[in-house]
Amino acid sequence: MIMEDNEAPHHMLLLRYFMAQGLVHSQPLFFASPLPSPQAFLGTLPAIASARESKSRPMGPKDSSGQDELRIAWQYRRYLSEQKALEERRLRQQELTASSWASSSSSFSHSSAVGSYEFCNDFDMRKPLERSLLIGSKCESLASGAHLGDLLDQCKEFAAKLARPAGEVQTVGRLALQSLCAPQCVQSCTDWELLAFLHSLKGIVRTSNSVAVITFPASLLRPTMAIRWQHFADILLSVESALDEDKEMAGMLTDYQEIVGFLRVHKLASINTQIPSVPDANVHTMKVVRRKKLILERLLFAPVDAVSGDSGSGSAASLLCGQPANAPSKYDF
Amino acid sequence: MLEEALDWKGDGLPPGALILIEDCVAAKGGFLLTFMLKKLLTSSAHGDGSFARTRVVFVAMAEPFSHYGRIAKKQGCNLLHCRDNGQLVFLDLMAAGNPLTSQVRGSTEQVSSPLQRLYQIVYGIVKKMKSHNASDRTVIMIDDASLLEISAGGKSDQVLSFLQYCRAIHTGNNRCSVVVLVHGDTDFRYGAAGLDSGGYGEQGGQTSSSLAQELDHIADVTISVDPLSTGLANDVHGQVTITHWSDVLSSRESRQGVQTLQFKLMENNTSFFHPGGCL
Repeated sequence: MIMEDNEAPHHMLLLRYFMAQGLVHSQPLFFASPLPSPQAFLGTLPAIASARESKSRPMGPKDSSGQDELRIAWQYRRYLSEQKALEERRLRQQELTASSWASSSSSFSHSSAVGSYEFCNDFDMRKPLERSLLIGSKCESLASGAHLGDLLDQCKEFAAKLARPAGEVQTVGRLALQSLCAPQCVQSCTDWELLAFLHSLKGIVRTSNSVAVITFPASLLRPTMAIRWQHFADILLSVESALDEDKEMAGMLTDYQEIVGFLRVHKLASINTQIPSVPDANVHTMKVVRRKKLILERLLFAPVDAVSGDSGSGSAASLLCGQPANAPSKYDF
Repeated sequence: MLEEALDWKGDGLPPGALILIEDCVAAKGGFLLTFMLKKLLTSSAHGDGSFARTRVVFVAMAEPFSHYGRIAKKQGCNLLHCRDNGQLVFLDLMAAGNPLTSQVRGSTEQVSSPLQRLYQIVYGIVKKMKSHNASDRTVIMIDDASLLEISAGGKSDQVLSFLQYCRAIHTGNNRCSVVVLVHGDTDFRYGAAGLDSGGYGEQGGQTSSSLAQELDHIADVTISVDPLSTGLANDVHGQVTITHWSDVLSSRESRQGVQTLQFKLMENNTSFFHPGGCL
């Protein structure tokens, strides 16, 4: 479950990626939203990044063989391996946000009738998803109020269609419910009915091959209700927007101009185990690079210059351990 | 170590006891249920020397049977075996379509409330359980009371009545004891919403007390599970605070007041230690 930010709809970026990933891999999708026309929203899903761009991701050991295609100065090669490590981390983070399920694990690299794609997170937001891939999706608009009984029936029907006998390749279905407690949705039901709906939905998802991502504006709920919603989540995230001009933040973070918001990981799933997962990093920055790609990175602070005064560059430690200017031999320090 | 803090001598729980486990979003208390379940199902002797089994009725609304089964198996307790030989009855209420969640449909044809129906089911189960010995004890474990409250449409008094009725069920010579998990942070004592304060400012407008507060009032022992104040850690997953409100589990002279222990969760065990004692 994702707690939305009041100021900016960055949760929609995450939903777009979640839905596009499912459709590209032929996973059935059910999308419910308070938008009057959810179908139109599906038209804004990103397409897979083109093959040429995804292959240009550098592979460490093959650098030397790639020298004919890409001439990289030797001093920048170490940044390439860092970039690869960042991409791998992003892949793992995307898998974490999209994988809260209890069903048997399904192999993601099975080829589909439409086209075979390896499981990937590389999407290009400037291009819309192919229309043919949208066939596997079902949309429901909650603009006129969420009739929870009907919505629950639709989710149950969706999940029931995913069941396959043992031995066959299992299909994983994706449910995306956007802004579930938005004013348009709650006009016909009470807080407690919504909670009961969530409980039933959790039961459906847990006992079928499906994953549900639900976004909700937590600030519109009463505090006690917001906490009850948080208790339901297997994985709980929240999105915060970043201010356009914040000099202090810009000084502390690298690439501040590309950052659109922050993703906070509050809770990770611990299904079939009692050991809680402790995330390596609680806060990730959400960057949109060249209006094309969404990248999630662990929060990195630029090194703070601890030494003020003449010396400018270099840390205090290097100054203390460095040689005095006129040392007769290199062993004097 | 938790058993010493609870003054639990390894036999079944005293008849009629209500053990309350309070948790929060940052520190889930489900591990205590599996911990106690394992202790109850593997204990077979009572303090007075008689050999008797503890039978458990587990009302599960938060997780399915497979979740508890796998965790207990790693800790050396086979729930399937216990279920087959009648020592454990597991009510899996998580799936949709169970009698409690039919409330979503807004049906007005119900004669009795969902919790009344659940009580009838639990009562029937307890009465039907085979007892080899009149001194067999029965424990009803509930995961969790906050979901019972949702099934009751927010009426916490119905949940309290349900729990008191469960406590009063007689089997043989003894009343049933109840172990119940509740989310303590849905209470106004925690102030604004735990993790995300949001924009809604409630200035104490609501005067009714919450379910967790009311359960605290009637419980014999409260075990609160909280995260560490310093944040998440791999070596210490949180802390538990045990408060005895009555003399049911231990006498006033022997127990040590409010105790705090920290814990670390592992696949096959849970280890409890005094704060600062983790190696």
